[in-house]
Amino acid sequence: MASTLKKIILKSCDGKILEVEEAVAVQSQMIKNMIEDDCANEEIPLPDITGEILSMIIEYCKMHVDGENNSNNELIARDADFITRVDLNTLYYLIVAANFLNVKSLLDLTCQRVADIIKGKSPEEIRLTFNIKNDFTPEEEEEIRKKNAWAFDYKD
Amino acid sequence: MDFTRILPEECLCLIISLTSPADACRSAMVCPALRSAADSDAVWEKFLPCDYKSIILESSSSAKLVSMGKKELYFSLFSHHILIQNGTMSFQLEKGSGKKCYMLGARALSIIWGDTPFYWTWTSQPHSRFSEVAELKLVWWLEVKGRIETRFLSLLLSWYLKLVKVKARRVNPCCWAQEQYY
Repeated sequence: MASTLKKIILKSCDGKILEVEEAVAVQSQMIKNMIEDDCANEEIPLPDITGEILSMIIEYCKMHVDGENNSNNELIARDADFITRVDLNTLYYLIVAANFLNVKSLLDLTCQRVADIIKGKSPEEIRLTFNIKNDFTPEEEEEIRKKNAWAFDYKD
Repeated sequence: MDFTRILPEECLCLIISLTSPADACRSAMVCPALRSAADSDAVWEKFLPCDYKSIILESSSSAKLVSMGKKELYFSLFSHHILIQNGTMSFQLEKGSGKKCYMLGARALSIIWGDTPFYWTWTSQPHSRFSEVAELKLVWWLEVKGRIETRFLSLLLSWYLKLVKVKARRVNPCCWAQEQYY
């Protein structure tokens, strides 16, 4: 019991300190490795992760630890509820953080959210939705369109 | 905010691999960063069937197929079939889904009286993918059985079977056929 109550101290890039139960923190494979290597006894600085994003990640990990005994359907419903509350910009920083901390289920969930938005859209619609600048020359664009021609007529 | 400038390439690859082959092709046209991810081997390897390596190794053109990039390989496998199992079976990908499509050639089937030239002859047809096809001369008893090992099939997917009729010159009204699928 004692080990599950051990706290891990995380520090965000904007100086926010968060104390997290070990059982929650080890949802991150990176932190789990640090604990196993006995490198997590002092505060762990997390460059590139803001306090706001870190709090969201801890909320997500806590939800998964607390929901361990719940049915798979309940967890899927909670994941869906979590991810639909997130706006696009926050979603990108969650992906960067989930990737850095190696929280696989959150990385899959967040990337799946972006993938779902991409699905079925034309290149122009993808650019508009995500505010992406088209850096291709018209010639390059035409060449790529030719190479991938079947996908433009294909409906999934 | 443009996510292609924030996310590392491995995340862009993961995102594209969670779409579909058609979405990946359309994404390749969005911008150079997304194109690099959308054309990557990491993405197309996920669209290929998990046992694609062992399948292409059976083909006579395996050396060429193995040397291809994964997107090129995917395109090749949906545009052209390959022959496997000593040329008695063909394999192709379904373009949009990447699902496996197999076809059994006549030599892979068990045809009752198939070795009796009075009833069946073996010829080659220029338009057939298989080197030999069975031509029916006369029949009193038509029974053709095909078997496909379950290891070839994907689990948790529905399968459908299609009997390809080559050419029927005359149909004897006394004949009957029964298709049994297990």
